[in-house]
Amino acid sequence: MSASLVIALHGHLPFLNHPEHEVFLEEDWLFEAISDCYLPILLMLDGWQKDGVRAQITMGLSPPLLSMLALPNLRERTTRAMDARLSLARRALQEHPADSPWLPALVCAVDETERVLARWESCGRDLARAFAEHHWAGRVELMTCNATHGLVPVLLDEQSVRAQVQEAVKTHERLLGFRPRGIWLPECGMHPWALDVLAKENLTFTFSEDRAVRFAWPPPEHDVFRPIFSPEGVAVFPRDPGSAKEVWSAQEGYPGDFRYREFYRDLGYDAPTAWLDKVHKQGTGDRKNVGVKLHRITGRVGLDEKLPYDPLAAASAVAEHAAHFARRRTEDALDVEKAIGAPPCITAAFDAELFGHWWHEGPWFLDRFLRLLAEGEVDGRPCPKPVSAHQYLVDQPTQQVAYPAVSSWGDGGAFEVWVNQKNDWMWKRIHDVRERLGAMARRYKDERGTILFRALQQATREVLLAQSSDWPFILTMGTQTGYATKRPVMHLARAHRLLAGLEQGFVDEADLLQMEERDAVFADVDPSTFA
Amino acid sequence: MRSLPFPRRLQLVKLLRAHGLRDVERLREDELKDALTKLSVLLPDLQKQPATTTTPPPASIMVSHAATDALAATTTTTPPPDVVDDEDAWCLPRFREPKLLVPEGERTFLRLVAVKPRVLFFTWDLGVDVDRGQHARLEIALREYLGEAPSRDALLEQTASLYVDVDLRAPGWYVDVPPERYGVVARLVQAGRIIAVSNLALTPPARPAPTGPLWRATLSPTTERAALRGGGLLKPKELPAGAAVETVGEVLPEPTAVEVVVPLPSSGEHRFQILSQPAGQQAEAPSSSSMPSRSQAPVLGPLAKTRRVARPDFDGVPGAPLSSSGPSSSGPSSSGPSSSAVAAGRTA
Repeated sequence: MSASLVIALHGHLPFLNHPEHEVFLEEDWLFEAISDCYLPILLMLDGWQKDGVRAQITMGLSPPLLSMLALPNLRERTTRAMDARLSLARRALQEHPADSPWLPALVCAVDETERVLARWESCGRDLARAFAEHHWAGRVELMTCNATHGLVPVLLDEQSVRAQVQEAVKTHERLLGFRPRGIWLPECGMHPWALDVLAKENLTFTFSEDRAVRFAWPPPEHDVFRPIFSPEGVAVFPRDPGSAKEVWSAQEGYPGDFRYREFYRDLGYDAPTAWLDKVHKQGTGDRKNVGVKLHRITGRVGLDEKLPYDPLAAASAVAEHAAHFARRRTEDALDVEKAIGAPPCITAAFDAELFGHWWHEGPWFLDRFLRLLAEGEVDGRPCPKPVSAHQYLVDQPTQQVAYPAVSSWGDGGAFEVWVNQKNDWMWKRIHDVRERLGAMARRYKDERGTILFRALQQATREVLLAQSSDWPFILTMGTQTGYATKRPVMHLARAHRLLAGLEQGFVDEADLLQMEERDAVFADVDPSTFA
Repeated sequence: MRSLPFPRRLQLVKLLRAHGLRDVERLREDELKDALTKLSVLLPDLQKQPATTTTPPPASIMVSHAATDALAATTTTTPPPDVVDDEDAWCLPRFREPKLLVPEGERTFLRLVAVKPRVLFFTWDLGVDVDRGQHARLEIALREYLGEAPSRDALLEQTASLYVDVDLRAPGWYVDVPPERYGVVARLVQAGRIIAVSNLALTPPARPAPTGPLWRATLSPTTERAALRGGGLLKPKELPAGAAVETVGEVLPEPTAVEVVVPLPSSGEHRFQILSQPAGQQAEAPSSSSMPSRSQAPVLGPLAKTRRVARPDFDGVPGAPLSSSGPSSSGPSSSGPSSSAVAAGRTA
């Protein structure tokens, strides 16, 4: 048995659906993630299929993300965003002379957008199904995440935790066609209650920050180089900080290489006004990022001094970095194996969006690196086998049992990022509405099929949406605070409006309908979990 | 605006991500710098704070304290922001909805979140039957544990370890506690009447756990995990088919009781007892005929070398032991009180 490498990508966005506006800026988060991250990763998996590459990754598709991918109006708007990007890139290509230094970047932008758009259409705009096909072929292990990214150690009531996990599993099954075997706990929020609910749902693995295992009791036999079983039998894979550092360190991190594409220069702001149509602008008519980026990082220079992007030079950087990363992981694995006397399991976990969205060449890097490892040897030495978390547990069914420590991947392994004086006002309100929902869930639990039950279901959706950890996080960051404040308040207000009606035995159907269209998640949500 | 040099931006991104902030790579340079400024304000390192005495604001009661005695520092929470739904006027008519209102004061409850190893956050809402004008007291029961967490009921049966006066007009309160692994439950009491009882919270530990038994389980991915709820792997009689657990023996920590006396200027002396739950009672080592002897236990020496290379320092506790090769010098042990109490010179 050789060493193993488990690559875990956490795919998540908060639920963003604004049919009430023709154009809504925050929805661009989704369109960019699909174009820049999820489609390129899908194309990477397609390539493995074509070339018979024997590598695996583990990837989370959170329920809000899956729900957005399934909504027809958002599919339509995603297509519109990709069309807008392509049209601007083509226009720019047309306008530039044949000897323009921008030509390679423009050709690359057009080619890439055409490729992702073609893949988008070839899978019938159904990304979930396309990923599921690769899951069944064993190239990716798709896992779920809490229903609305609720952070368990902060939610701290059994009903909410149960609902977050149950609805996640149901959504995964409904939209992907199979039950997940693992789950990414939001913010790596480790807590005994989560593990108990995971066991109830027969989820066999999850990921954690290194502290959950390093500070576990009894202490880990193999530090972070093997998962542990919780007493409920859930395997907890701790992140290896070393692997993350290789990618993100300012000194050693790859994405800062000057040959890579610059994120902060966008043709949406740089193009002459005449090139821009309504689709390239915000609803207000202001400019915005369109996703056509033609500069390279260049060096320690201002945005105005960035030079043209050279895709061939970037590809060369990817080849160097992938080879370096493969060599380092191989050396690590050999060193650790020597130290512990057993094949280690190195877990490298990242936000999926880091690959492709902000580090444009990230998917190229991932592809190249994993293809190297799939060869079985790096520089003539045996390298770690790139396996999914599930496959690792099939291969290595014996692990230490310990109680993982309460932790997160927040500062100091704790929860201050989500509970501090910027956002603590929301927690009592989130608890209060849950209590009110519980009372109505008990009263109307047998009313299935009535409009009262529909209202109860919608109130449940609103409560779950208010529980997302994304909003307190954004408030802590101090960016987009207007939207991040409004969203939980909006969901709380909608839930209270519905519950106030239910207390009187009354439902405003028009109001209910508009909520069902806006907050269209968890089709068959079960309010009884809160009863 | 001129951009930051890219490596500088990367450093900021890395720093912010190291503080648990996600999606920071989305931010513009000015937002990154702004976030960094806010972060430094937001995440004070309590362990490094100089000794200070806080002045009570008019609307709250602050327990003054020296930082070296930082066991019951309290601060109020911020009020909710006003939400102006200015976009509603622009949305399609069928989506227009009533003003966004979130009611308050309809139910009485007390919520507790363990924010980080030293800090608890309490928040409450009070129904009409509670006099908000009068002060109340949080009676906080703490129990140190290893392994299985104590239950809420068990903590409620325990005498409170810490008392903190609070102003009910505030929306919440932050309370400092020692940085141990605690189960925590609190009561909100006014004039001898219990107004509300909190949920159970578990504090995140600040350092590695002391040594304990080494259990190994063999579990097929297809083994029904639902059958293992409630810690079934450590209850051998309940193991489902296909699952096996073996134990490599190791000493269990003995229960520890530490009495800590904290002088607090505002309310005299606070005396509380921290119970260290005997680990052996929570998770008995499964008996097994195949149990290896101690001499068969994995040798941990070589691993320690690897760990020294790989691990960071933990919360300013450089050199805190990670290995299970011997009793922890910093964790609870059978021979004395918890290290934090000793270090602060507060052992009774």
